[in-house]
Amino acid sequence: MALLPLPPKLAKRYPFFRLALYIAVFAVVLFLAERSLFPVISYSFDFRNPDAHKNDLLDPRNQKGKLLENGRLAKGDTLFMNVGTSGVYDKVFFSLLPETEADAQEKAEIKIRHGYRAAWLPEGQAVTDFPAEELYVSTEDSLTTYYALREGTLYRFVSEDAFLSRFPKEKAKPIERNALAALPLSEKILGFRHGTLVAFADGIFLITDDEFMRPIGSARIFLSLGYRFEDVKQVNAEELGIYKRGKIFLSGDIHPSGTVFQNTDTGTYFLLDGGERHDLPPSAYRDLLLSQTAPILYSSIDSKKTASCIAEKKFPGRSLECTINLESLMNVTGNDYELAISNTENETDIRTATLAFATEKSRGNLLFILSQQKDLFLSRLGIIPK
Amino acid sequence: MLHSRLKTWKESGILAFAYSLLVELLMLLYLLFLGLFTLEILLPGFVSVRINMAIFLATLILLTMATAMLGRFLGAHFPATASYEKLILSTLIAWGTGIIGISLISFPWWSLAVLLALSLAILFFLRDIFLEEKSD
Repeated sequence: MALLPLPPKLAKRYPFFRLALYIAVFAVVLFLAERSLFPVISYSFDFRNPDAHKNDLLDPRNQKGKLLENGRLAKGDTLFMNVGTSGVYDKVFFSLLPETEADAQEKAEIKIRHGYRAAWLPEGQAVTDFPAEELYVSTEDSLTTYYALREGTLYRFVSEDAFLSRFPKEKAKPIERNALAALPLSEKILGFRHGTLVAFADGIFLITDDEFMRPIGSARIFLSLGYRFEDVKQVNAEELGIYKRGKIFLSGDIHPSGTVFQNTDTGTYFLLDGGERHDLPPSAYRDLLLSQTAPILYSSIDSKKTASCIAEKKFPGRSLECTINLESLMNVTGNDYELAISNTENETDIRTATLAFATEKSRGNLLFILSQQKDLFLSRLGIIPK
Repeated sequence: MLHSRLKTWKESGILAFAYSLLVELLMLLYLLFLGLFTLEILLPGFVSVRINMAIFLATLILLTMATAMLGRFLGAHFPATASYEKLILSTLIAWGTGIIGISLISFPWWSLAVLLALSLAILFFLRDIFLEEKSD
């Protein structure tokens, strides 16, 4: 029945229109559910506007690691880009638009791998001991203060917890008040070890270096980076106040220096520092790191696995397209993908590159996605799923 | 021109027909929005990553305004009954309590006690104000 009185002719038609309205709304609900459960998520890079914020394929670079500001690729060059996403995808559509018809290629080889970006970084020297520092502790007037002496200047640690995140107590030598007064004291205050996760009020922050902390974008990003809520250290305003607030940490950002990873294939550990992976053989330093935080687990074998396709020129137009089957990479731990576009033909100039991740609509995938959402919900409540 | 056309539509009953359908559509869309909002609170990012909730809400507000204007033009008036008000209010309170309860689940017990006491006190004063207004 209509809300307002209607003429008999319209009153007769009203139930049919009402039914059509309910069917339409139900169809919209189904469409939204389908889009939410099986989204197609696109990432792209526009080489005409390399600094645009909407570019979400990250860090375009060549095989030597040099960041590119345009899409020019010589014969034999490979263009690498990264993207961070936490969904479950079993295929990805690749599309490349050359700048002009003259740049159009017949084909290009596209490869993709899945894991954590940190696992693909170059290897540096092993870290076998604590960072070399001259450390002091003053216990005057029942107040314990830790210092580091660097090039003749004293740097105060903001708190005992901050010191203990870097060194054990016994590393600091006792120092008298007179000796302290004789040394110049820097205004710069030292905080927590790089890579430490801290919480203040309702935010979680990553200490990325001595100067900056970066808020983590969301609980989803936090979990997709392999972090655990149990490893977050509660800090006070003074401890956090020594840092400047950096930009929000998002999916696709590389873990900061100081992050510890464990290879599940070999049981070995590595420490991220200065854009390199450093082996962490058994040592007192490694014990200290592992006593403070669980390592982020990854598989070196899985991280090297690739899936590929040959992108071919689409008619009409000049774009190159192909679809990569990601089934072999679906269960790899990590939230990052690395795309490699190999130019086997003549020199070319790329205008845009696009990746669109999708999940096949199947019962198995639906159950998997729902179970992931259940785990996310439980972890949000502080109940860690098995 | 437009006014005379609207007048013709009003007399033919087409506007009353459209208004009745619009109100039903609005109710369904508000329910859908409530569902999506709840899902977003329970699983942050699940909805907002895929669907722009701001556009949805803006559309809903514009549609509500258009429906209200049409209702005024048609002279539609629905005095809310006490039982209807009670139903809406109790549904909203149950929904709000559930959502707030979930967000407070890992709070320390003493802060929960403080929040509960404060909420009850605010509700008590609001009830007084509300009852005073009714009696006026």
